[in-house]
Parts: sequence; structure tokens; C-alpha cells
Amino acid sequence: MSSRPSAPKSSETALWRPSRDEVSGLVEWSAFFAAWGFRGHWPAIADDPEQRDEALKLFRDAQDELARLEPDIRCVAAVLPANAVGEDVEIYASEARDAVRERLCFLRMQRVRADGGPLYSLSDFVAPKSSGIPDWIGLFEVSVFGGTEAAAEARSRGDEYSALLRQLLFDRLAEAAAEWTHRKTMSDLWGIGDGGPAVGIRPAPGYPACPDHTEKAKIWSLLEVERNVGAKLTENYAISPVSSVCGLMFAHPKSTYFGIGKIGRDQLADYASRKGWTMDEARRWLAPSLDEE
Amino acid sequence: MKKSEAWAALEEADSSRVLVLDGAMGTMIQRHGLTEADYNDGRFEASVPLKGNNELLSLTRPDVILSIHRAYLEAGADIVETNTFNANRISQRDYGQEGRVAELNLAAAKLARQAVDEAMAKDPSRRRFVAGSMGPTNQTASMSPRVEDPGFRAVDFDALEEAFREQARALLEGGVDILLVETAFDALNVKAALCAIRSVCAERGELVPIMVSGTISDASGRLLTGPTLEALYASVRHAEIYSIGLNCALGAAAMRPHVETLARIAECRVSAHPNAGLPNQFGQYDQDAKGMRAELESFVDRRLVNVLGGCCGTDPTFIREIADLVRGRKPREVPKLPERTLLAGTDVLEISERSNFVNVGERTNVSGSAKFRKLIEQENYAEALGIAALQVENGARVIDVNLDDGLIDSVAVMRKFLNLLASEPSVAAVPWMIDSSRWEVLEAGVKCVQGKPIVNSISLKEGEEVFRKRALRLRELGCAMVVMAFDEKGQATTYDRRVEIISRQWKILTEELGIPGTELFFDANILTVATGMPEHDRYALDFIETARWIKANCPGAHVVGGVSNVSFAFRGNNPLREAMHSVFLYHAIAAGMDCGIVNAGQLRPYDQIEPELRERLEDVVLCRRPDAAERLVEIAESVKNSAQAESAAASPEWRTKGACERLATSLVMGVDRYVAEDMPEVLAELKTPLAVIEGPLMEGMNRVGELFGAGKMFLPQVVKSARVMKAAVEILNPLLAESAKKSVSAGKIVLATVKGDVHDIGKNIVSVVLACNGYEVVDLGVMTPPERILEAAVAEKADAVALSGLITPSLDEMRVVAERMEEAGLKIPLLVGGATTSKLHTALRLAPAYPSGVVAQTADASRMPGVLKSLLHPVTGEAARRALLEEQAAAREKRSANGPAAKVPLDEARRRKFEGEWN
Ligand code: B12
Repeated sequence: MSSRPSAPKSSETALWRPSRDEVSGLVEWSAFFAAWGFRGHWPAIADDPEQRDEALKLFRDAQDELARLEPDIRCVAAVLPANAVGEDVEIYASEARDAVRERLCFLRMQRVRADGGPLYSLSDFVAPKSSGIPDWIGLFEVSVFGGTEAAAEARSRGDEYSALLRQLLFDRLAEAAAEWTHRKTMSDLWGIGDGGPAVGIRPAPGYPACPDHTEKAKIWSLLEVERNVGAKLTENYAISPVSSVCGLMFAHPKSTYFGIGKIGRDQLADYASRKGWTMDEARRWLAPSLDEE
Repeated sequence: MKKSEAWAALEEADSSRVLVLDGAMGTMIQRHGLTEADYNDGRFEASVPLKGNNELLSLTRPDVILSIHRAYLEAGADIVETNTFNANRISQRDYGQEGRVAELNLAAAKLARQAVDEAMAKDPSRRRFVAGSMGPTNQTASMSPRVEDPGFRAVDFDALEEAFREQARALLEGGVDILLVETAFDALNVKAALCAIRSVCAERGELVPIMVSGTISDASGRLLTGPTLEALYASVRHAEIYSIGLNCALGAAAMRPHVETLARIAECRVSAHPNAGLPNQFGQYDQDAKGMRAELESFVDRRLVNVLGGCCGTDPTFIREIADLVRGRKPREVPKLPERTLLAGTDVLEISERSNFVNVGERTNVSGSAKFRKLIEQENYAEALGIAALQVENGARVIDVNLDDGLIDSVAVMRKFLNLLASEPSVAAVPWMIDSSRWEVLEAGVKCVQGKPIVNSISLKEGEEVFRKRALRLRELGCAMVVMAFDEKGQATTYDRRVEIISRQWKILTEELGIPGTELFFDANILTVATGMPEHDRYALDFIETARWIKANCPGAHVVGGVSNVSFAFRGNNPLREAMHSVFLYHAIAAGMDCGIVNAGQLRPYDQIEPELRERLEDVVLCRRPDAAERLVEIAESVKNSAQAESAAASPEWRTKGACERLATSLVMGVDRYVAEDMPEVLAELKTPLAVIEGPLMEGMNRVGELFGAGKMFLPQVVKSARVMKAAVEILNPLLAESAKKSVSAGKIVLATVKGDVHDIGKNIVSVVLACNGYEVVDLGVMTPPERILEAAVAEKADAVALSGLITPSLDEMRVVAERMEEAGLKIPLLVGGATTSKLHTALRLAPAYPSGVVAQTADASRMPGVLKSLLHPVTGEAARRALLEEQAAAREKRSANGPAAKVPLDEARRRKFEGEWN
């Protein structure tokens, strides 16, 4: 099996504002129930005699509440020309690929794998520059506005239950909107698939395959997130509003999620020089990936 | 298992004639007039006289035993039985000779072998066989010897199995051809013997012919412990036995109708060796050989038996008559019966093409019936048995027993409950379904059952290896099994997944393991419909379609399911649920479902359901329109109301209680509707607002805290309870003096999400949980800089600071706060939590930054009140703090002792990158 990257239909930055009902079908309820302390997956929870009573009650309440919410869902995405150079992925200013617009930095696994499997880096899923094969990478950011206000309203009435319900529903909608955006990007921008479950993966900075939160800043500049969506990054790279997700899209059919785990000192130094960080800065932002933690 | 050479030889011999079994051993020994010295020639140490322990004679007087075997062979016996009826460790214990069991069996087998070999040498024209006799022991596993304690057992399955194994092993080593499990008065003892024999055969690599022979104790035609012959046969059919039959207790004439029964139902050979009539008042048998022959004639004329012999009171003259009687006569023909499933309690339940739907009573299930659970928890077994009996009375043909509950020692309670059930004749009569999600409970359960139970359930959840092993074990134990449509990936919820899993299970069970389809009950998962989720809409229909598929593709197998699941969305609306069950069953049964776990007392006839309701129910069950669920919900209330028209006006039962009790109940139930209404009355009763808070409110909240801490209450309920608390306190607040406010608080906590983090929800949950436990919470919100946290902690005179964070940079912010607290000279506990926090990080990074205080991390909010309480306790708080510090120091040490995990150098890691195979 070999794969030839396919060229996108458009490399424009797309803005979408789907309605609540467009994304609500994609809500993954398991996380919602987990937040309320239920065990296991939905809908299996509803078949567990110990939990189903309360779970179904909660589910009804959630459905009712969801029907009343008026979320403002904003999504931005683009598929841009890119090639890998080591663990970096260069993003080019145009298809001519002669000017580097941005350089995404990734880490590589260094753990001893007894199964002999590959030591992944996300950059492995983009064709290397040296191959001469053109490739692309997708980026997205979604934010759902209105949740903080909706929760505050319920709280002001002393209704903590509804407040929590609303907050969690907004978070669910953010996640669903990310899924929706992934599908939409693949079908409408990249021209892969028909809008059903997307090919490839959608890792988000901060997740185990790319634990460096500071990379979000590059998404902000490439997609002009502040201008296009209105979401901001805090000094520690959390996204405001809270119900937000940003990430990358890889189309390689064998791309997969994985965890970087702990890295060695050699890679820490290498990464620091690629990011232009002092060793102290590198230690701070990569702390969870280092042995000392 | 491969069958032994003797099997083939027996089959050849029995194809054309009735085989003759020898007569009584005991009767013959008696005639020798032996004394204590014959029984014990000095080799046995014994505290009781050994005379009467006939098995010892194989060692002390082998000449006597040998002469008896020779006499029977001479008389024309084809099969002689070894002198080992009581040669098992349970019976021998009475004589203190349990250590001799192997020796006794070995010697006895060799003697019989020697006699048979001699006879064969003299006349090789006819094959003769040695059968190792295995009596039932002198104890029963199905009945209590103590009248006052029916749940007690003097012996259990495992002990019996072990004893029989020891005996069978020695007999086979001594060269017997057949093992004869005889004079059985308890089907459970027999099952233990069969298990033992088959496991010894498995060790030896070949299956020997096994004969099972029961003893009827009274005119009703049942064994002592209750089973009918049909039930006995159902209980042993799985074990590939060579024959089933009867011996002892009855003379030939009285035995005949029962032998007829066996001849009709048995798909193996049938044997009979009756007594020489009935004993007279001196315990002697008066019937002579000719008399017995006359009574046995009809056995042969009617071709009822394949093996015929004698028991008590018979001697070689009898055997000579019998041999003469059967000479040249045709044996019973083993019938080819239609495929059918036999289950049994003490009565048999046959399920075949023609039989009706089998309803399994669901009420003796702790997770399905709150009432039953309570009775079990209170060890009120008498009433719990009553629930079982009521189901049978209401028409349940099988009863399901499930004792899975975190707080119950399910293995012990399952044993106890089943042993008690056995003493309740109406319940003992029906087959039981042993139901548990835990294998050890299932195994312990079936070992208490003398009939043929169904085990509920096994599945591919833990993979094929475990599945095979369990299926085979259940088969060995003689159980039918519920096979659930569940595999490594989870429970099947669609038609395709159901069929995928069931066909795989079917293949493994039947083709690979050779288990007959009739032993299998496929549970294709009845799941809840009308939940409001479109992905649940097809649940019922897919089940029905799967039932059809199973009937078409899995010959003999049954389709089972827990019916009440389907209507779960309408909890609290029983009239609707009952109607829904009827509609569902109507269609599912038509598609092939033949067994269902239901509340037997509550099924409404399909055609009595009002047409509009029926149509809407059918829309839901058969997924006939997208808005089916909504349309059903629309009329659900009116269905309930019309059914309960008279009682509708009444309010819930707890509303009739005293005001304080009502307030506390409102709190626990999370109902805020009545708070304002009840409060004046409560205040009037308790006089001061403080007393209200400290009384019913705190009581209710403590109860909530306890239930939540114990995992018995879910967070949504807790949050609702907190809402009620808040409403109540709001009413009381204006009436409370400042000093009183302080005294009711368990402490003040400053709570915040740290700088740079927007995470809110975990923090809010923590806030609710704290409030529920009586703490006063000062919530600083998200993105809180360390300065503000410090300020608030000091200004509010906080008893503790609690920080939340979602992303990893927040860990560092928590360290900063810890450092600032140290600098500010604080000593109050710092609590941290949220997705990326951990005990290890807390020990390594946070605790060292705040040595004057203590830093605690908890994985979820429900644990926090406990931790906080122990740290803030005026007396034991210091000890709790020290314990935590020590724990953290130990974690640090362990960490540095272990050192970092090995790493692949970066350049090598790069060589081992994932190859994208670009071209
Ligand atoms: C739901 C979720 C989301 C939702 C909502 C997030 C939100 N509202 O904050 C959405 C989809 C929006 C989201 C987005 C992101 N997420 Co997210 N998300 C989760 C997930 C699956 C569950 C978190 C959650 O809400 N749980 C339910 C609540 C109730 O639980 P909780 O917060 O943990 O709180 C409980 C306990 O921790 C404890 N607790 C909490 N605080 C405190 C405080 C004290 C004092 C105590 C004692 C106890 C305590 O009590 C609570 C109740 O029991 C976690 C994974 C996980 N398993 O935790 C990832 C996770 C937190 N997310 C992660 C990431 C990276 C992100 C993003 C940065 C991804 C991206 N690039 O876009 C964004 C950032 C969002 C932002 N605004 O900055 C990572 C963080 C990892 C890291 N190393 O930093 C996680 C851990 C996933 C992972 N495995 O990698 N996420």
C-alpha cells in the first residue's frame, strides 16, 4: 500500500457558523455522563440497572435543556500546503512551496517499545520535503459562545443544577462542532470523503500526541482566529471562551493517535533549539513530558 | 473425548442381547458369617469395630470376594461389580478408614478383573466386564440433616467431587471397564460423581462407559431429595452416559412402571437391578429366584431394558434365572427422540418446537427488585423465599436468581439462598436460572443445584479463550447456558452486530466444542426504546429481527431476553410498561423468542390493550415512524392516570409525615417544591432557625453526603439536593444572627481556577460538593492570579485553599500559589484537583513548595470532603497531615530510587519513525 497525498479543492480559510441542530447529532454523550460521575459508555450506561434510572433522568433533562439553548457556534479551518522536515512541518505561503510561512514543531516518541512498533511523531504523517511529493495539513479552531452567560443566568437563580447542565452541554457542543468541522473540512476543502466520519486524525495541541500547548499560537496566526472567531489565548494558552477546541488535521490513511510519553534530554535540547527557547523555557512548557515530573 | 475400548465392546455385546449384571454383594458376604477378625486382621487401626465395613474384605479376605465374583460369572453374569460401594472417603470416615480409600478400590478392582479374566480364559466366546461400583456416600448435598436449619449442608459438591475422583481414579487404575454410579438418592451427588469421573477420564485421555442408577424412595417415583426420574435424567443427560436405570428399594414388580418411564425418555441404554421383592419384618427377602424371574418377564417381553440384574437379596441362583430369561431375547432399542431441551428442578421442564413461551420470574433479582434486595440485605430469607414462591404461583416456569450487588458477598449469599430455595418444594420443582455477571458466583451457584439449571450468562466480553473455557466448564457441570450478544468490543446494539456476535458464538459452541444447540439460550439484548435518542429507536425491532435470524440459523437454540428493559424509559408508569411488554412479546414470540425474563404476575393480554395505545406502542416497538416515541410520551401520562384514577388525587406517601421529616426527605430527594410550604411549620416546631439547620437540614445533607461517598447516589441527585439546601438556607438566612452563621459552617474554603486556565466545571462541582458537606465556599472564578488567591485566603480567614486546573501549564501555576502561601506564612491546607493533577506531581513539585502547610490532591470531588475533614479535624488533623507528608516523602524516595525509564536515543528513534510509504 502506498499513499499519494491528494490536493485540496481550496486552500482558502473557511468560516462556518453551523446551527445547534446541525452539530447536536454529533454529540458524544459518554463524556457528559463521565462528568456527572457515571461509569462506562453511553448508551451502555442506560442498560446498566444500577445507573440507568438516574442516567435516563439526566438525559431527559439534558435534552430539554439542549432544546432551549442558543449557542453561537463559530468555526474556522484551512488546508494548507505543507511538507515535513524532521519533526517539523513547514507550511508554505503558496503552492510554489518556495516560502515558509510557519513551522509547526512536533515531538517524537522515545520509549522502548517491546512490540517493535514505530516511534511516532505527528510529522511522520506528512510527506517529507526530501521526497519531492507535495502534501497538505489542515488546521481548525471552533468556539461556542454563550455558555458562560447561560450558566451565570441559572446560577443567579440559585439553580446550580441547570448551570452545570448548561456548561457541560456547551462543552459537548464544542466537541461536536470540532467533529462537524473536521468532516466539513475534509469533504468541502480537501475533497476527501462525503461528509461522513472523516479519514485521518484531528489531534489538538495539549493532547498526548502533541503536548506542547504553545503551538496553539501558530494556529491563531495562521487562521487569524481572533479576528475570524473572536476567541483568545490566555498567557498559558487556554482558550477563552472555555467551550473551544483547536487542532490539526492529518489525512494520511494510516495516521493514528498516540502518546509521546517521556522524552530524553537529547530531544529536549533539540526541541528547544527548534523553538528558539532557552533550556529553562523548554523545561517549563514540556514539564509533563520530562522524567522529573 | 475418545471413547475407551470397553465402550465399543459393550456396544457390540449389547446390540443383540440384554446384558446380565450380577447380584448383591452384601447378601453374599453375609452368608459367610464373618467376624471382626475377618474384617480386621490387625492391619487397621480403628476406634470402632470394623465388622460391616465390607469394602475392607478386598484386603483382608480377598478369597471371599473372589469366590463371589466367580459364582456370579459362573451363573451367567456379563458384568460384575467391584466390592467398592462404600469405598469413598466420606463413607469410610465413619470407620476412620478414609486414608485407605485408594488401596481398597485398587484391590477390589483387581479382584473383579482377575475373576473376569479367568472366566474369559475359560470361555472366550462372550466378553465379560468389570463395573466399578460407586455408591452415593452417606451424605446428601441437597438436603439439610438439621430440621431447624434447612440451609445447612453436611457435604458440598466440591467435597463429593473430590471423594469420587479419588475413588474413580483407583478403580480405573485397577482395570475396571465401566463405572457404575448406583443407588443414587440425590441428583446433585450424581452430578458431582459424573464431574469427577469425566475429569479423571480426561486425565487418562479416554472416556469409559458410565452407568447411572437411581433409587426411588417412595411411591411417588422420586429420589429421596425430590427429583422425578425425568428430572434425574435431565440432570445427567449431558455427561454422555452409557445407561440410566434403577436399583434397590423396590422389587421387580414395583419397579416396572418406573423403568417404563426411563425406557420412554432415555436416549441411552436402560438398566434395572431390583431387589428380591420387598424385605419382610426381619429385613430378609423372601422372594425366590423363580418368583423374581416371573416378575422380570414383562421387562424383557416389553423390551424395556438393555441391562438386567439383581440387588439386595439376590444371589447367583437369581442371576442364573435372569441369564436364562434373557437368552435369545431382544434388548431395548435406544429411541431416536426429537431434539428438545430438558431443564429441571425436581420436576422436568421440556422445551421443544411445540412448547409454549417459557417465562422466567425476575423478582428474585437484587438489581431488579428493591424489595428483594432489602430482604437479602437484612438476611430476611424467609420472606425472600416467599417472593420466589409467589412467582411460581403466578406462573413463572423458571426463576432467575441474581444476587449481584457490591455490598453483598454474592458467592456466599448465592449458596445460602439456593440451599434454602431447595427446601421450598414449589420453588425447588422449577428449574433455576443462576444469574450473575461474576463467574465465581455462577460456578458456586450451579454447584448447589440438583436439577438442570440455566446459567445466565457467558459472552465473548473477555475473549474467546475465556468463553470456551467457561462454556466447557458449564457443560461439564450440566448446565444450559444463556449466551449474551456481547463481545470484546462491547454489547451488540444493532442487528448486524447481534448477528455477527451470535454466529461467531454459535460456531464456537456447536462446531468447535460440540455443545448441542438445545443447550443454548441466546440473549440478543433487549434494550430500552423511546429514550429520546434516535439511535435507540431500532432496539426492539432489531431484537425481533435477530430472534428470527437465530431461529433460522441456530437449530435447537432458544432466544431469551430481559423484557422489562424495553420499557425502562417509562419507569414509574407501570400500566404503560405492562402494555408495552405485551406488545413487544407478541411480536418477539411470533419471531421466535421462546423464553423471557419477566414479572410473571404482570402481563396484560395483547388483545385487551386499548387500540390507540396499542398502535402507538407498536409504532415504537416496530420503529414504524420517526416520531413514535414522542407520540407515545404524549399519551403516557393519561395511560398512567386512567389506570390509577382513584389514587391519583393522593400526594406521595412521605408528604403525610411530620414537618421535619418532610423537609429532610425533600433534601434527600432533591425536591424543592415543598420547602417554602414546610418551613413555617418546621420553624414553629424547632423554634430557632439554627435548630432547623442543625436538625433536619444537616441530617438530610449528611445522608446525601454519605450516600454519595458510598457511591449510592449520583452527582445529579447531589446537585439537586444542594439546590434544595440553598433554597432552605435562603429562607432562614435573614433570621440568623451572624454568630450563628459561623457556628453552622464546617469551615471556609477559598476556591479558584488558576491563572491562565479557563476550566470551570470541575471547580463548580467541587463547590457543590463542599457546600453539601457544610462548608462555606468563596469562589474566585477562573483565570485567578496568585495574588488574588492569597488576598482572599487571608481576608476571609479561610480554613483551606482549593485550586482547580485543566491543562498542564496550570500545574506550574499551582506551584506558584503554593510558594506564595509559604512566603505569606500560611499553614492551612492547600487542595488541588483537575484533569492533569496527580498524586505524584503533588508529592514531587507542590508539597516541597509549601513545607509549612500540606498539599493534598484528590482524583474526584467526592473524595475531597473526607480528606478535608481529616485535615481540619481539631484533634486528629495534625496526625492526618503528618501521615500525608510521610506518604509524599515515600513517593519521592521511590521515584528517585527507580530512576527514569529507559529511552531510545533520538537519532535511533528517528530511524524507527513511521514510514508513510509515499510515492
Ligand atoms: C471535556 C473536555 C474538554 C471540553 C470542555 C473543557 C472545559 N470545559 O474545560 C472541551 C471539548 C471544550 C475541551 C477542550 C480542550 N481540551 Co479537553 N478535555 C476534556 C476532558 C475529556 C474532560 C474534562 C472535564 O470536563 N471533565 C469533567 C469534570 C467534571 O471533571 P474535572 O474537571 O476533572 O473535575 C473533577 C476532578 O478533577 C475534581 N477536581 C477538579 N478540580 C478540582 C479542584 C480541587 C481542589 C479538587 C480537590 C478536585 C478537583 O473534581 C471534579 C469532579 O469530580 C479531559 C480529559 C479528562 N479525562 O479529564 C480533556 C482534557 C482536560 N483536555 C485537554 C486539552 C488539551 C484540551 C484542549 C487544550 C485541546 C485543544 N487544543 O483545543 C482544549 C482547551 C479548551 C480551553 N478552553 O482551553 C487535555 C489536557 C492535557 C494537558 N496535558 O494539558 C485533557 C486532559 C485530555 C487529554 N487526555 O489530553 N476539553
